[in-house]
Amino acid sequence: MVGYLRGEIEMDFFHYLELAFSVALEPSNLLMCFLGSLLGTLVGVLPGLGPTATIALLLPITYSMSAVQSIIMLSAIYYGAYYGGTTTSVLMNIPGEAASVVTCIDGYQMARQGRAGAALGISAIGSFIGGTFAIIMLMAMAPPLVRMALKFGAPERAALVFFGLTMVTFLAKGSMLKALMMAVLGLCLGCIGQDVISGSERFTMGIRNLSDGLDIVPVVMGLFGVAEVFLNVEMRFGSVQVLNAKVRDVFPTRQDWKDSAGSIARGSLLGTFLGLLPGGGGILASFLSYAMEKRISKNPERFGKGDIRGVAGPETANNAGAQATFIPLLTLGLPCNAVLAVLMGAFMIHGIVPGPLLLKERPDLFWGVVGSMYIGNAMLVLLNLPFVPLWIKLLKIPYYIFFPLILLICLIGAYSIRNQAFDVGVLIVFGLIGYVLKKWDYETPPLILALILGPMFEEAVNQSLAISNGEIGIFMSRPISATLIITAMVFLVMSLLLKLLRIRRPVGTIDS
Amino acid sequence: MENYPDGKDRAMDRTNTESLKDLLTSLLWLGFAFIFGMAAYRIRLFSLDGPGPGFFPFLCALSLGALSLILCVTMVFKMAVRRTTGESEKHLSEKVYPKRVLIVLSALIFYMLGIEFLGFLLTTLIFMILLLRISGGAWKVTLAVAILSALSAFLVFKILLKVPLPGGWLGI
Repeated sequence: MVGYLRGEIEMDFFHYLELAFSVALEPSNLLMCFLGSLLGTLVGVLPGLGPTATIALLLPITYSMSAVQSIIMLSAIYYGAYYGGTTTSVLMNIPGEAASVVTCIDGYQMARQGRAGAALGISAIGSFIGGTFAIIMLMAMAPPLVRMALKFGAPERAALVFFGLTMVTFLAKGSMLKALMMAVLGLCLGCIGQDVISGSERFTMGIRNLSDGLDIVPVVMGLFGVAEVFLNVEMRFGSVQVLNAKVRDVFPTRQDWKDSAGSIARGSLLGTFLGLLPGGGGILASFLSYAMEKRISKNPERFGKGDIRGVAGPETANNAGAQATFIPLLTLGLPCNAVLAVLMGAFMIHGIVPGPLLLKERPDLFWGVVGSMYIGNAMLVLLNLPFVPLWIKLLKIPYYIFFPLILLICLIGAYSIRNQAFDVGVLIVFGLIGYVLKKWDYETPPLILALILGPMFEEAVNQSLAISNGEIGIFMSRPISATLIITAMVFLVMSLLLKLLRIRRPVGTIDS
Repeated sequence: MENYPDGKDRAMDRTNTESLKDLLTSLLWLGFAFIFGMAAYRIRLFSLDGPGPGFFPFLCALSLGALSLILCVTMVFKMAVRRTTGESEKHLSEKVYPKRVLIVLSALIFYMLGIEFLGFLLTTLIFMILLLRISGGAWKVTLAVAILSALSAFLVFKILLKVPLPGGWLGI
């Protein structure tokens, strides 16, 4: 079986490339790509509703679409948000998305110097180049990764999920210990419902609606949408200050190209590499790219004062990272962040499990998504530059008008899943939970990732122990699973030790 | 250093408050892990074929308990070290409006309870009015935005996307 699949994967590579564009260029798929790109840009520009909650919101609507159309649209929302976030960073000094935080530093300064157009232009083009590079890597790496993953058994699958969850917590913004606790909490919540093997109900507290477990849509919308609204309404409603800069000359000059070319190339490589890591992706890539550009620059003092490299590098890296995160999702079935975990939910709604068999069983879906990513990147360049004045107008909508609309969409999305008020209740409960968790400085992305991966993880662990008659050594006796587990444990232990050392060190010896 | 009128160090107080918060939350998680673990134990940890339905949740509960304990011990240690060295953190305080959170929560609960009885259109209208009033402002604007939003949502979701939303009391 593996040999047959290997042959078929290698021989049909160019056929699949042709398939990629033939699927992506179908009018209905092209329309979905456009809609997703537009929505993604909007989500990136407007505050309050990130790509995670938006994708969760649209999951019920995708029931009526084909799998290919749904995944194309939802994927475009994800990478589109990275494009959209740049606009607010440059024009308002407010990052539309977490990955655009770094763009504020030099992008806003460029806008103040009358170079908003150049900043937005180089961001869009750099993002396109970075995204395209990552997609080419996806096409090149997919067949060998799939070949490797086809050899995975239950212990390897369990070890992969363990590694993924550990890395996500290691790369978390705040406390790793707390992020780990959230991941374990997510695994606990994933146990609610009927056990797949024995059929016994677990932790349902007699509530019939919980027999199938927690539906991911109201949980995600609650944790990311409603909780965010709770946090924002608590603060003063300020008015948005948009820089009154004319956006002109969006095409970079020859000098801009000369200055940015190296940054774009480095950003593409760095972003793609980091996108492969669980917990990596666009956010980490943009920060590291900025740090790298400043470090290697001959005149680092220019950074922070409107240096185009401070925009080109991070923007390229963040989009390359975002696209590269599709590599482990589509080939190994491992989502690297909360957004992709929700996107994985979209696959499952259509009865598809992303992973090594996707390339074989649904090549139209696999390559159609890849093809649409090329097209989506091109669409985003076209959408972002000419439509900037429209995005600026939308940004001026006061938050006190905006947030009720966000909540309304979340409520409708939750209710429409099963036409039951129960799901609205779940939305509200998780909105409260998300709000309280954020107040207590606990991160919710590891929780979502673990909630989605939990059932798969449990199945793999139980299968492995059943195979080995309860011997836990099975995980360490197989090279791939042993490597993954040891790597994860090294990161875990290293991080906890560093934390303990920091606590014990007295003041005066801590580096500034 | 800023002090309270009685001379107590305000910065130190804030620092210990943060650590105390983490300490209390760690105890909460410890409690949750204990209850979850007990419930998992009662389900069944092992079967003839291998792990039972309670095995994995029990493992998760143990992990959560262990992590909570580490956090608890870390916080106790941190508070003790800070008290000895006089280390402090700076905090920016910003005015918050917790009452608004309660209003939003009440509006959400109203929506959940009202949608099947009053119907989608009426519930949405009342919901939007409640929330738009948080910021104050002219009633004309509130009513205009509320009516426009409710009708647009009705058109888009019920008519165009054919999402089966309840008609309720109005029957539409």
